[in-house]
Amino acid sequence: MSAVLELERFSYAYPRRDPALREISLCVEPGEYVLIAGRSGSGKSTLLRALSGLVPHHFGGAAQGEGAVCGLDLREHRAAELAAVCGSVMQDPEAQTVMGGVRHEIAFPLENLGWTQAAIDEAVDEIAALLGIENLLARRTAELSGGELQRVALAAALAPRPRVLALDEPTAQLDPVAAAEFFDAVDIANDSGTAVVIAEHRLDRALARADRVLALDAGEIAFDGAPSAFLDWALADGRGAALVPAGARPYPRAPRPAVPASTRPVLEFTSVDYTHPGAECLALREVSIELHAGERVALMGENGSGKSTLLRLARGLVQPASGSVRAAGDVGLLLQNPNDYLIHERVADEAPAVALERFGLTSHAERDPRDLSGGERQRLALAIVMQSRPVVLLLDEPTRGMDRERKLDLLAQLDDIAAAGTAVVLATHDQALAAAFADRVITLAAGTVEVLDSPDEVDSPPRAAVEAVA
Amino acid sequence: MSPATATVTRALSFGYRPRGGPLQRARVTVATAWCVSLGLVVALYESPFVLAAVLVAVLAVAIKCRVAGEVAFAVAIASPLALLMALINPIASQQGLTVLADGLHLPLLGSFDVTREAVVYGLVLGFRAIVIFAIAALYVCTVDPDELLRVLRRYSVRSAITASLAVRLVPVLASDGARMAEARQCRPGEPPSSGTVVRATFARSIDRAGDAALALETRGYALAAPLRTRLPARTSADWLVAGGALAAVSFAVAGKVAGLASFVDYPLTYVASDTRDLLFSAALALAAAVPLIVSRGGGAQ
Repeated sequence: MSAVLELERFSYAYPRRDPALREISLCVEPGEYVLIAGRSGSGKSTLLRALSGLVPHHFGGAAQGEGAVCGLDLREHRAAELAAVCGSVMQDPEAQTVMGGVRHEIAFPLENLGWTQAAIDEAVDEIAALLGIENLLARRTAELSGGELQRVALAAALAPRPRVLALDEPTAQLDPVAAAEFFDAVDIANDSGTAVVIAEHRLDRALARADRVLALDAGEIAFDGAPSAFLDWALADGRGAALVPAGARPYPRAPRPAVPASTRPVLEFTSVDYTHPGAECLALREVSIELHAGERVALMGENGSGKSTLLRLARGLVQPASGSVRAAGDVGLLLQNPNDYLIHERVADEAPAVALERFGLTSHAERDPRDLSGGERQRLALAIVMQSRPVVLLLDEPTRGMDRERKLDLLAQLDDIAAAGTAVVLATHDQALAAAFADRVITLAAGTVEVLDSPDEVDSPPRAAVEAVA
Repeated sequence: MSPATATVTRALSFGYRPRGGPLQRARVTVATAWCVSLGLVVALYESPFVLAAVLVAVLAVAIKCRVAGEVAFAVAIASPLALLMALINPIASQQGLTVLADGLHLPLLGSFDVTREAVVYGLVLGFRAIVIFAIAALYVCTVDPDELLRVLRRYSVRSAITASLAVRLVPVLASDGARMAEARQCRPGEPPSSGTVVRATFARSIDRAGDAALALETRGYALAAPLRTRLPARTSADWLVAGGALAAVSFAVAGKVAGLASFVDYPLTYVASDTRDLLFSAALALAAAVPLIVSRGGGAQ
């Protein structure tokens, strides 16, 4: 059977930029499951955009070499023409939703391809049954959770029965449960013969499923081989050191400097209840928590368990229905998306020079914040929040879509902040990160503080997944 | 979230919900026709009795369609605008014979008189705005934009999808705006200027539009093949809603020809308020709304 994807010395550069892909040669067979690993900016997304026909046609720039998906030349065929043979799912579930109803969303690509109504109805029902989302067909896309929306996006990508599926960090914004459901759905498509090419930062889960791993470094293929060989290569501390899955090499735990013991908490929740406006059920119930200076706490729980609400209450963005929240000073809150903080056209206008220096951003002072990398934007948002020298710093899932290197950078910054006496609360789904960072883990379930334990007790599915590969 | 931000977010999060009401069950073309027919009545008549009757009809149908909360909210946010119109008209219009206050002076505007006719007409204009907001809210909450897109695609594929996508982007931008508002509250020091915030919001909307364009490309939008889908089968709701629309238009035209429910703004206000005018207003509302209200079915889906 002929290859579904063939690249021969394929190079691409975005307009007025250095090449993002350099002489990539690659062949993917039908039904193959290929995991693309690489640091941020290594060219993973660009490679997937090339498979979808988005580069060079949508983004412009220059492409060289040969490339074809199911025999369609990438330089001649646009994304729309490739949609029938290559389905795509991107990172942000909201951004790739086009229609208001789930059935219409899945039918949309088929309508564009000119299918008849009967064929569309049959294909939509078939793919919904295959992915187990029949119960969503009558729902509105605006009502779905991120995980549900991402599975609908997968169904829309699979509806034209493509031979290749290009997935660009599809679980970056999902909690572990939703991510596992998404991977299960991809497995179903793969089992039916669809080749899968997936870029991921959270390698642990995808590694156990992949037939092959492709590691990119500065737009070049640095490794191409079996998952077990990839683990050996990454653990050898060469170019792959930054790609070692957390399950194979846990994040280092920084030594804890002695912080003067304080009897007075810097943040105190006392029997706090909270109900979202218009809702009938309590979002948080009888929550009582104390935080002390310099303490490092991981806040964990599934999406919807109340983590973000707890942080908003602590910052005073919302008020409790009953009970009290007391802070001994300013409370800094870094929300999930650092871009929400960036409103000026110069980095220097976002935060004072001393704050920029503290977070290593002095050299970027004259740049537009939107031109910074993801990690730099995160540091800039931290610099903005830390200006007021808060007694407590709250971070709401700050490591979404981050590679290992950026997570280690963030851990080092948080260690410095905690060492200076600020209590730090990190809301995260990343068990390995929580284990490395926290002195204490607070677990929320259905709005209730369920467990207060040490980080050693946190389950670590990533470790199990990596052990399976090894 | 501040009350103003919450209000804007709620307004932008308006959208179609399939709640089983007669307008939701009817074809989008028929439901659109019903809303347009009431809009036509508002365009033809300035009589406060007719406007009030239309508003009652809209609210009654909104209750039947289970979107009364949304329509009431639209009326609430239209009220300040209506009040503004009522206040501005006596200043802007110097027509009318019954002077209530003469020789008033405002900087830049100079001296002016306030007439009773200008006050009444300002109130009528404001009331009209409220009724139009209510009809628009009912339309947005009961007409499925996806189905509307399928109908429009038969005539203009690209503009239909662009319009649908623009509607889809509204709640996405609303949630972006709400998150940015929260982030601004988390910034220490002086809050940023309005100009800075507007510029940042605009930049974000451009990013979102770029994301949407990517999604469209990968879903084959550029091919834009002619739609080969069929329209849903006609139901009893179609006939009832169409009947209501037809009745509203017929009553409105007949009333106009017969000179019922007339209204004169200047030089002296005249509002026809005979029994026959009041009966006409009530009959018009009943003719438009009753077929929908008596229709069977409904309930949340």
